[in-house]
Amino acid sequence: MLYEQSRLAVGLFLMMIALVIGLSIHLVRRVSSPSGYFAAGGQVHWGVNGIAFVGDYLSAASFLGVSGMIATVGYDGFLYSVGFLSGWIVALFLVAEPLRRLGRFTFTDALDAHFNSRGLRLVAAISTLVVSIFYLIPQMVGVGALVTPLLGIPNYIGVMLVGVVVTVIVATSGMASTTYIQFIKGILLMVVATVVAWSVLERGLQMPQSPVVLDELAAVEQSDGRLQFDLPGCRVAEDWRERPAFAAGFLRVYQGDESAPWQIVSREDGRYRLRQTQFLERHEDGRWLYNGAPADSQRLFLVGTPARLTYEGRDVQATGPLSPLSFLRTVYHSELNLWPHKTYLDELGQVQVFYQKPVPGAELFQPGGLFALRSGSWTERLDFISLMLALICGTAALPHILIRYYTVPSQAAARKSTIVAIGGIGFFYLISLILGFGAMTGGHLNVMDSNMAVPLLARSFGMALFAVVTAVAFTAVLGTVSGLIIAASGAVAHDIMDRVLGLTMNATEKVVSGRLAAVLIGCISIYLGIVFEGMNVSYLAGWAFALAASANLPALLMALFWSRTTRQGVIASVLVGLVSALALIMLSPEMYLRYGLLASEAPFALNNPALVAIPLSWLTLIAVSLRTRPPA
Amino acid sequence: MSKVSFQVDALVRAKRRIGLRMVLVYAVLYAVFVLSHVFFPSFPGRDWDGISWGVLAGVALMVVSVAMAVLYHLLCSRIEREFRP
Repeated sequence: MLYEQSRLAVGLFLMMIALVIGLSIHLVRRVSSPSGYFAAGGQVHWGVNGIAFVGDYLSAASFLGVSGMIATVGYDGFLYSVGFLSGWIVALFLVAEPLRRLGRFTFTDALDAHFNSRGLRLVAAISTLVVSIFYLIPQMVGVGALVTPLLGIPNYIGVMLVGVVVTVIVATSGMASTTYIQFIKGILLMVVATVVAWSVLERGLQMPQSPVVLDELAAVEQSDGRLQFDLPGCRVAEDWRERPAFAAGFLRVYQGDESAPWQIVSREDGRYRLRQTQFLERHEDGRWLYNGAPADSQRLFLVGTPARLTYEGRDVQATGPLSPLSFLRTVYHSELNLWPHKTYLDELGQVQVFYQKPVPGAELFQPGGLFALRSGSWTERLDFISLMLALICGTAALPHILIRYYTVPSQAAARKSTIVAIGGIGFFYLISLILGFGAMTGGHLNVMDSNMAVPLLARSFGMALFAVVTAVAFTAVLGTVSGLIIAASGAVAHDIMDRVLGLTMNATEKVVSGRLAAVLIGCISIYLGIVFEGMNVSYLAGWAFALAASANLPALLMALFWSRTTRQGVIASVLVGLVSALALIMLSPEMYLRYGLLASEAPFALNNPALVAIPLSWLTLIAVSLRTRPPA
Repeated sequence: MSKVSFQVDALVRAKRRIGLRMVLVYAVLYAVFVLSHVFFPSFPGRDWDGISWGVLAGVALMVVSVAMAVLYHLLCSRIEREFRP
């Protein structure tokens, strides 16, 4: 069975909910002013804020997504970690102190500090909303992936449950409760990740004791073109050679009422050898089928084992405890069973087939799993550059990160808290490397849900660790989502209602409007979490980074550092960055797959829009600013 | 302009100069890291004593991030002390 419920896990989950709601209610009395609600009064200690930054940033995308990506594709997942951390350097060197100096509650405050323009505030608030909502999607998808197996409830109920909890957190005491929840979460994440990584190293690497044996079939092509199988009752369609499955390297084999794509392992002189796969396809009634049955039928099986284990120059069954370096060295010299996938369209729609492929460890430490850089294709190269550009530019433009600078009392405190964040986040990403490769080799990998790699890895050490990891991953989502909701509610209540529409509100009314906005954003996040179920959360986060980097960063940096910047230039830059990044995402190959079409049909070849949208936004700002410069 | 606000402006400018220089240095390192993957994609897979160059380079960049962050703080703190009335 892939997932089983644990009372301990459910107990910890409920305890976390009680803890965060209790904390929020306890702090609600302190939140009577807009400063208290949106910026926790601006008096948070830099050390607490630094760890809260860690908690805010290490979202589901990092804790679940990065390790999950390393577990399924290897080194390419690690490249995300490098990009994510690098973004903090831009935030520290260029943004932290000026932002603290110029703003009050929101990203818009700092952007508008020199211009005092209603139009600018409106577009910046819209950009904050769009970026926050895009970043909310991977968090809510991650929470669905976690809560569903943990509580044994359907995905949509899990997402709704968490959406309601997080909305309560934000709608009660705003940034105050959010800060302390993120602080607790930051510490828990680092401790739990360290414990799991230590457990992986202590166990070392081992060959599977009861390996999954994949079924095999043999078939011979007859003179009339039909296939004769060695197993009675098996058949293929008459036009099997014309089917998209065959072109992709598979054969759909029918047995009784059921059918499945089998991998063509070899074919020689009309003799075919086929191997069992795992596959995801849509049924006629619209349901997703996992290995030909609904998810609750538990037909999926866990994989991820070494095919050959080479330790200190010889093949072994188990290594015993390893240091981090010996662990990586052993993976490098061994051979692992990976499960890559191919997608094709047949008469029922899109079919995603996962098949076993033994891969030398050395190959897992070079690009290829996600970024086919070795293929020499310029599309792949540009897509990679685009993603890495989005990651380094995105962090310093994420509204929910930027507003945390208003919670500390001074610019020096903003700087010090960023350094704490860089240390904590860097430490976590180093550990992710062990977690990812540990999950890849631990025999507990669900090929169709890379987001569950770390919780399932923890389960291989016992249900207690699984329960703790899922509960902590749950707080990871809570902390980040509450940060995002407060950023978005600030954009609605402070930027739009107060400063754009000019609604006259006293302090209490401003806080109430912030709370109402939080409820609205919470409802939107629930809806999006259900719609985007199943996508890798790090991948989705890459889009949020691209949006932030395109829409916000050029405007913010130029407003801070280029004296010729005009309000018209900033407005045009934010709009062009936002619209172009959104449009290119909608036309990207990955979105075409979501539409049920083939990726090759997408009009824009790159999955990440940053390489086009960021320069476009920058050039727009320069051109418009130069044209709208007031006469000297 | 008062003496205090002039000093604040000078302090902001001095820290900004350090930030811009350091971000430029880091951007070059990051660009080298990214472009080495683009133009020499098999380079990360080669090993030094069983550890891949890609992992070594990535970890080195992370360590450099932390080191530069601390250095930036030390430089800014020194300037702040100099400007303190």
